[in-house]
Parts: sequence; structure tokens; C-alpha cells
Amino acid sequence: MEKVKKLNNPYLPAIIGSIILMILGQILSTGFLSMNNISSILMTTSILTLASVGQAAVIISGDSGLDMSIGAIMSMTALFGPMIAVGSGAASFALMIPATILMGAIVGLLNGIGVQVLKVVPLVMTLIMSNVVNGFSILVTKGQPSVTVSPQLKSISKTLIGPLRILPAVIIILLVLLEVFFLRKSRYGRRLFLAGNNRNAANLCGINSRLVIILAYIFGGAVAGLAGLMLVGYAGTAQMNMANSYTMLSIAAVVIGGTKLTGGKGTFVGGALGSLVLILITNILQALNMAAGLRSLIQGVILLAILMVNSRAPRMRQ
Amino acid sequence: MSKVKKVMTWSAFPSLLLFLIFLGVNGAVTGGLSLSFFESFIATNAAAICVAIGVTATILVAGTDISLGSIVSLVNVVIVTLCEKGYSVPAAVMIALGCAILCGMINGFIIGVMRVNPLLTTFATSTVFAGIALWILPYPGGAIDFSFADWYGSHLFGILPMPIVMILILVIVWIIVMKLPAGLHLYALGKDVKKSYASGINVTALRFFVHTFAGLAAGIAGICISANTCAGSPSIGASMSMNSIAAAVIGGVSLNGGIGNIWGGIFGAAFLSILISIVVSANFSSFVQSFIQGLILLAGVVISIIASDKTLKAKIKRVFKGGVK
Amino acid sequence: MGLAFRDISKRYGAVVAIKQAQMEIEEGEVRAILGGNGSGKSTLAKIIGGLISRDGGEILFQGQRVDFKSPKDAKRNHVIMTSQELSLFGNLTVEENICISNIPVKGKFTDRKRLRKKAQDVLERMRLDSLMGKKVEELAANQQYMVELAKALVQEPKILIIDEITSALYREDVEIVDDIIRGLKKEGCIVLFISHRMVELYAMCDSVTIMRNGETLGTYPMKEKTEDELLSLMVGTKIESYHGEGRHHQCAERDVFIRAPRIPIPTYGTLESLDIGKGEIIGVAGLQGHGQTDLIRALYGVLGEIELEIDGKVRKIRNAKQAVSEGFAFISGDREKDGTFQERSLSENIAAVQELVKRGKIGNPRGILDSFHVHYDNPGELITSLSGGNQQKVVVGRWLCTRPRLLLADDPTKGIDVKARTDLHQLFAELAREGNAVIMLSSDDDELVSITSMVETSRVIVMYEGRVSAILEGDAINRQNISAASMPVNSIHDAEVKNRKEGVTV
Repeated sequence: MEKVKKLNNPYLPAIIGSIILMILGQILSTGFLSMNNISSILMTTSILTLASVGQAAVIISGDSGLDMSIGAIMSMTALFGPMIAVGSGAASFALMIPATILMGAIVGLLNGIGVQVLKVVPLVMTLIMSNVVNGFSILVTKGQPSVTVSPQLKSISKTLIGPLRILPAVIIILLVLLEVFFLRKSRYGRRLFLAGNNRNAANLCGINSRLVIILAYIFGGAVAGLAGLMLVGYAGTAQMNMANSYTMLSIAAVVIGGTKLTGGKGTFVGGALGSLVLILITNILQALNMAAGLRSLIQGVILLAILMVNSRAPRMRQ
Repeated sequence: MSKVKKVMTWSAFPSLLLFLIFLGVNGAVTGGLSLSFFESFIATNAAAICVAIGVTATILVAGTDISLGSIVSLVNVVIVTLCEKGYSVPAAVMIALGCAILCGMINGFIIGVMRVNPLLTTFATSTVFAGIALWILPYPGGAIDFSFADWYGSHLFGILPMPIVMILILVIVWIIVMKLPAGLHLYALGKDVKKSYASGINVTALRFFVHTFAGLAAGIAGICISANTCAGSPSIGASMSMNSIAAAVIGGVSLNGGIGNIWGGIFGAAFLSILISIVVSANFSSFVQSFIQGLILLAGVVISIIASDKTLKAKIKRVFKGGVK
Repeated sequence: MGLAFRDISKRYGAVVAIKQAQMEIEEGEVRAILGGNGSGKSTLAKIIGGLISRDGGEILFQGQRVDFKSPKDAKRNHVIMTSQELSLFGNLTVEENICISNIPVKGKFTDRKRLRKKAQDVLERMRLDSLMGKKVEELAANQQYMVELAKALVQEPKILIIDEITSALYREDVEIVDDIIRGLKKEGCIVLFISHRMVELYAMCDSVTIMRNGETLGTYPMKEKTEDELLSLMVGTKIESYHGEGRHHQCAERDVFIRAPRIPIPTYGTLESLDIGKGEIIGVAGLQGHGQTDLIRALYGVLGEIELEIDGKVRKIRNAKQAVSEGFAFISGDREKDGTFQERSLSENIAAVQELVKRGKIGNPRGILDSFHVHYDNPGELITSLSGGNQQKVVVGRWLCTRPRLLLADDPTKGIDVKARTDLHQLFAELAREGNAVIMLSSDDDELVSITSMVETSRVIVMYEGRVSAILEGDAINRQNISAASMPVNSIHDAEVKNRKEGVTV
């Protein structure tokens, strides 16, 4: 019993938050907890979850790590992914997945080099990188994306059982696999935590912290690349900069999920729960017919409140 | 000789040089430099320069502010909306400026008093400010009376173009601050927070002040951009935050704080602006432009950071000294 | 009536830093405070300077009780402290630094003219006016110390505390300091002088207060005591209780395991050499900051590439990873910075190095934790839930379970209790008896004496200003010898001046 309590502690705010939000949603707009709505909430949550997994890896890597290019990478792969066409539709779809992962990984590598080798502050580096990536997307598509999403790609939102569709099911399995076998059990995962927690001590233990952190940016970019493909599959059409809001949402999701922005600590599952909270908030605000600006305002205020509780510097006097 | 050396080692000198060189290049490309080109250049880019001044102030104390672009958007939206509602232009402008300063004070309060990381704070407040702008004016539109544009195109005392006056207001405020004991304290704070505290410097008040000043700078930038376009757009300042940080870095302002001055921000922004205007006039398709602009920003920041790397500088110096011997 | 301390005491947690310190100083008196590492002299100085609070006792200044709440408060009363940790801002000029705590103003604005005048005046007094206009970061270490002193002088001290400021100064600079202190004396200023350079103390000070283990042992006129008398007062006679008679053997034979012909000491720009024998414990002693930490870290390869001859083969070690693969281990006393992963569990902290050494095979964390006598609930709990001593045992256990061939320990028992300390000593001795080598730095001379007595083939090397000033073996390892070698009287100082004249930068 004690153990269970301890295990759930960092997730508790997110779990309680989502339950309250679901009840609130049902009260404010009837049909909020309908099968249909739950199904679509799960869909969008799973895409944001994927983005938050990438963001979490970068934040865990420490050194004020933050990836502001997640949204830009997603937008890019959402545009480029569906363009891939070789032979049959199924073969194309099979190629799209590694291709988008590779695109994201390349951007992540550039971020990692900028941050760890050239010593540019992560925020500035990844912000500028997001500008470059967005510019690159415009360059390639000539500003007029004409993306046709193949039926295979669209099929990720096919219903499986009840409200569960293919994508959320895959993401849940993937999430558990990543959490357990990548973050917890793998040698790399352990090193990521150590390097992120205390870079100095990790170096003294013989861990190549710089490499570990660069790999975290590559992983973050790769996962964001995949998330972009999933997004376009769900949306059915692609637009310029369609995923840019995911940058901020992914950071907020990770923070709500109990991950400290100082690094060395955190989970992917927490990011998933944080994503659920954020999607529920957006959904409720949408159900209330709230304007886009007001939604962004409320999200910002929530993030600000979390920061003021979660990440204050200690006092000057001891 | 020593004066020449002093100018050469001035932290803002490389950006000034770059600006002048590319101004010349632009003149050569477009066929000669004219006063009218310069005036229209300043009118278009005064906003970017003002934001760069604001962000430089925050970087000098080892902070940063990425919400300034959103404040610019907010100011633009407030002016347009108030004008549409029948307010006179000066009244609308003053109210908008007040909003901008308030935004800066909110940043300053959370960063200085609540001691939250400046980067994350302004990241969160930038969504809040942008959200308010989008809430007030969901779609681009609206118009401001053209008397506003006429005022912006006029000259103070018949000589000083209004955009220059706007920049000068900020410069004068900053120079006054630099003349106060607080000016020295700002640089000390940028170098080391703990030592500053031990030397009896009021860290909280200084942080509150620089973010308020940055808010003022964004407010003036918003006025400039509104007067230049006479139209409203809720995302007009969106790209300005990042460009201004890049401008400051190119202008020799260290992201670690305590090194550089607002002239670096001014010339860095002017250099980036002239570069962008060259890219625009060089007949690249508009699709290539944004990519090239991104690359220029990246290259500028990376080169500046490598150039200010002390170990690298020492290496170069040693090679140089060895050569002399 | 000058300055008086009555029953001052200060404790940090369980550690008593100062107990019942007493002192009385007349106006115009220059008082030396002499004591070994951890004798409480710096703590006492910080209490007067308002940097830290005291737990008990009172300070009387000119007959009045005073109680400074902050450095600013102390400064207002003209109590100025120059400390080992410099308070200068490298990005500001010398004159700006000198005046930063009280900038002269005209109306509201900074009065640049007066600021420059003020700095100029004090620098001229110190014959340093050539420094005007320079940025502090451009100055050499000794010049920075002088500016630090100038910053103190500008604040017109009535009590000036000089905490080891002279350790980085050249002889010419010392003369200037001497002149200035004479000047202050005439004005009735009280000077507290903390230094370990006997020559300077004899030249400048009127009287000396001896401190040991946080107690003030007595005050004597400087001229009445010889250097040897002062040293033995400082060291006390407690040595016998630390190691039994005859347990130190004379110069036992040892196999050379590692030869390190060129160990860089960056802080002083010097090079040292060391031969490390199998089954040997080498204690590294000296006053704080004389290059001991550099020596240990340089051997671990983290201060740049180092060439070592290991078992007769030449190896280059560039970073910690290579050092680990050679079977080296590194334990730091600065747990928070260099040791623990505070957000991680005990088992993760234990496993941090193992997978690198044992290729992924990680031992049972419970077994390891038990074998190092760590008190814990379960291996999944955060390391911060343990006491400091137990945390350090986890860090040590992390390394020892890999059976390192060379253990480098940088003051590994800093801030841990006696029981944990003896446990660690046993573990280190055991490792050495297996034929591995241990190099251990300690700021506590007694600790070195006791740990080296546990293994026959042991030495203590004493460092002074970046060089090994003595190598002690066998019966020669005792507190007196270590203290004496930590503070050589003449030789080093002259060598330094000579170096400078020959244009060698230190």
C-alpha cells in the first residue's frame, strides 16, 4: 500500500486534475463524456503525448534543456511525410515512418550540436532552429502545401474497440515500452538521468555527459518527427506551421506530469497524463465556444501558476 | 591611437561595422544611398531596434525576455481596437503604452520578486499576452487614422525623423539609468548575483526595473509598427522576440550577462534588418527568404558566440603574439 | 577601549566551529590570528564581518555592544572584511570595483570624477595607480588581491579584517601592505590579520592570538614567542592519542605501480612528480588551496591530458572515462557537487560506475549497501533521505565495489561524523592491503596521521604553493612535521621573487 502511494505521488495532481476536468466538462456541456468525444480526446491526447515524450527526454537531460523546435519539426514532417510515394500505398506508409523519424532526428542532432558543442543556450538554439525548420518547410513546399493524405495514413484513426482507435492503442503500448525499456531499464536511460541530475558527478563517474545529452535531443527530434506524421494522418490535411502550438503544449504537459524543469527527473507517463489534462482543458474551452485567444490566455496563466509553485529559486540569504 | 583602439575593442563595434558594410552593399545593389532610403529603412525597422534595446537590457543582467514580441502585438491590437471604438489616436497610443509597461511590470514582478527563471516566465507570459491580443482581435483587420502615419513620417523640429525620436527616447532613458549608481549595479548583477547581493545591491529592484524597461521598449516598438502599417494584426510581433535576442548576441551582448551595451542591440538589429532587406531586394522568391533569414540568424548567433569564446580568443591572441616575437 | 569578544560560539549542525572564544584588542593594534585548518579563525572573522551569525556571546566595540546583521550593516559601522573569496566583478574597472559598495553621487547621478578621485587616492597610497582604468579580469591574481584591499581601504575601516589576503602577494606588494597597515595603525584602526606566513606576521603584527579546535588558547606579544613556540602552541600535544607507538614503520620497500613524472598544478602553474607504490596510502597534506586538489584531479585526467606510466606501460589519460577504464576511482568530499545524484535512488547512485567497469553487470544493490554498513530503508529511496555520512558511504561504495587499483580521494570525509569517518578509513586501508593504491587528501592533519598508521607502506606528502614541500615517511609522520612543512619559513618566498625577476610567470 505504502509503495503504491509513493509510486503515484508525482502523477497525483494530473490524475485528480483530469478527473475533475471530466466531471466539469460533463456539467458544462452535455455529451462531453460521450463515446465519440472521449474517442476524439484520446486521439488528440495520444499525439500530444508523443510530442511530450520527446520534450521530456530533452528536459530530463538537464543543463536547462528545452526543445522549442518540437512544433516546427512536427509541422515539417506533417508536410513532407505524406509526400513520400513508392509503389503501393502500404509500402509508402511503411517508408513514411522511418523517413519522418530520420528527418526529426537530423534536426535534433543539429540542436544537440548547437547546445552542447557550440554552447548556445538551449532555448535560443532551439528557437532559432524552429525558425530555420519552418523556413525550410516553406522553401520546399513553395508556401502552398498540396498534401494528399493516403488512406493508409488516415487509417490510424480507425476505431478498434469502443472509444479506442488504432493510434491511441499503439501509443499506449509504445509509451509503456519506452517508459520501461528505454527510460528505466536501458543503460542509456540510466545515464540520461545521471547526466541530467548532476553533470559534474556523471562526468567524474566516467559518463560522457555531452554525448548523452546530444542523444537526448536526437531522440526528442525523432519522436517529434513521428508525431508530425500522426498529426497529419489524424487531421487529414496539412497546412504550414500547423503544429507550432505543440511546442508550448508539450512543455506544459511535461511540467504538469510532475517533471522538474531542472532535469535529472521525470517520466514519459507523467507527460501523457499532463497531455490528457491539457487536451481536456482545450476541449472544455472549445465546448464553451471560447475564443482561441482566450484559450491561449488561460493556458498561459495555468503554466505561469505551475511555474510559480514549482520552480522558484531559493532565497539569497541562507 | 588609443582612441582608435578603444573603438575597435568596443563590444558593439563588430555589429556597427557589419551594419555599415551591408548598408554599403545595399546601396551598391539598389543604386546609391539616399536619405529617403535611410528614412524608410528606419521607419520600417524602428520597432525591431526598440525591441532589441529592451531585450538587451534584460540580457545584461543575465536574464532574458521572450515575451516582448507578444507585447508588441498586444500594443498594436489595443491601438487599432481603441481607434475603431472612437478614441483619439494619442489617447489610444497612451493607453496601449500603459498596457505594455504593465506587462513588463508583471514580468518583473514574477522574475524579481517571485524568483522564477526569466526564460520560463516570459515564455509563459508571452502566451498570455499573445492570447489577450488574439482574444481582442481574432483576425487581422481594422485601420488606424492616417494622421498617425503622417505623424510617424514627420520630423521633430524639422530635422529629426519621428522613428529616430522614438529610438532616442529609449536611448536617453537608458543613458540616464547608466549615469545612476544603479547603472554600475546592473553590470555587477549581470556578472554575479551572489557577489552583488553581498555588496549590498538590491537585486530584486534591479530585475523589476529592467523588465519594466523592456516592457516600455516593446510598447514604443508597438507604436512604431502600428504607425508604420496603420493596420491591426494579432501576430504582428510574433517573430520579433527571437530576432531581437539574435540581434543582441550579434551586437556583442553576452547571454551570460554583464558584457555589452544597448548600442550592440541597436546595431545588431540594424544589421539584421539591412541583411533581410538585401535578401528581399535580391529577387529571391519569397519562399527562399524565410529559410535564408533563419540561416542568417543561426549563423549570426553561432559566430558571435564562438567569437566571444574566451579560450578561443586566448588561443588566437597567443598565435598572434607568437608571430610578433 | 577597542574591540572585545566575550564567549563567542558557533556551531554548524553538530559540528562546533567556535567555542567560547575570547579576545581583546586595543585601538591601533595589529593582531595576528594563528591556527591550523578548521581551527575556527576564518569563522571568527566572518562573524565580526557580519557574514554569518553567532550562536552565543557578545562583541563589544568601543564599549558598545554591537550585532551586525549583514555585511552591509557591518560596513555601515566601518567594519570591513577582505575575504579569501574575492568580491570583485571582473567586468567592471578597477575604480568601479573599489567604489561599488558606496558610489559617490552628485544629486542622483554617479559622480564619475569623485569616483575616480577616490580610487586614485587609495591606489596612489598603494603605489598602484597604474591599474586605473583597467578591467579587473585583466589583472593578475596578486593585483586583484591588492584591489580587494583597496576596496576595503576606501570604506574607511575602523576594524579591518584581512583573511589570508597575503598568500598570493609578491614581496614588493607585501611591503606596500605593510606600509598601509602602519598608516591605519596611526589612525587608531584595529587590524585583524589572518595569515600563515610567519615572516609577515613578525613584521606587521603587535600580538598574536592562537586558535585550536575552535578555542582561543591565549594571546601573546608577537616578539615574545619564537616561531617554534608558536607552532607547538598551534599544534598542541594531542598527537600521541592518534597513533600507537611504533606503528609507523621505517621506509618499507614498495613496488612502483604508477609513475607520474609531470603532474600539472594549474592554480600555481607548477609541475610535480609522484611515484605511487602498490599497497600504499599516500596522504596529501597542506594548508587549504595550495594545489592539493589540483594534484588529485590532475591524476584523474580531468585537468587535461596526463601521461602516466602504469605497470611500466605509458598511458595517456584524457578524461574520467579513460581513468575509470584504467581502474582509477575518484571520491570527492564535495558530495553535492561531485558525488551524489540527488534526484535519484540509492540503487541508481550505487550503480553509476559499475556498468562502465563490469560491462553492464550490476551487483545487487542491497548486498553492496549492507557491506558498506549504510543505514537505509530500501534501495529505491532517494539518496537525500540519508544522513551526510551515509550518503558519502554510498558514493564510496559506488567506487569500492569495482575494486579500483588506484583510489583518489579529495577530502572524502569532509563534514561526516566520527563513526562514518573511521568506517571509511577501514575500507581504504583494506583496499590498500589488497595491493591497490590510495591517495587521500585531507584538510585534517590528524586524519592523515591516523590513516597512514593503518598501513605500513605509507607516506604523507605536504604541499605548499603548488609544490611538494616535504615527503614524510614512517615515524616522521606526525602533526608537528606536517604543520612545519605546511608553512615553510623562508625558502619558497625567495624562490618566488627570484622567479619573478627572471620573468617566469607564476
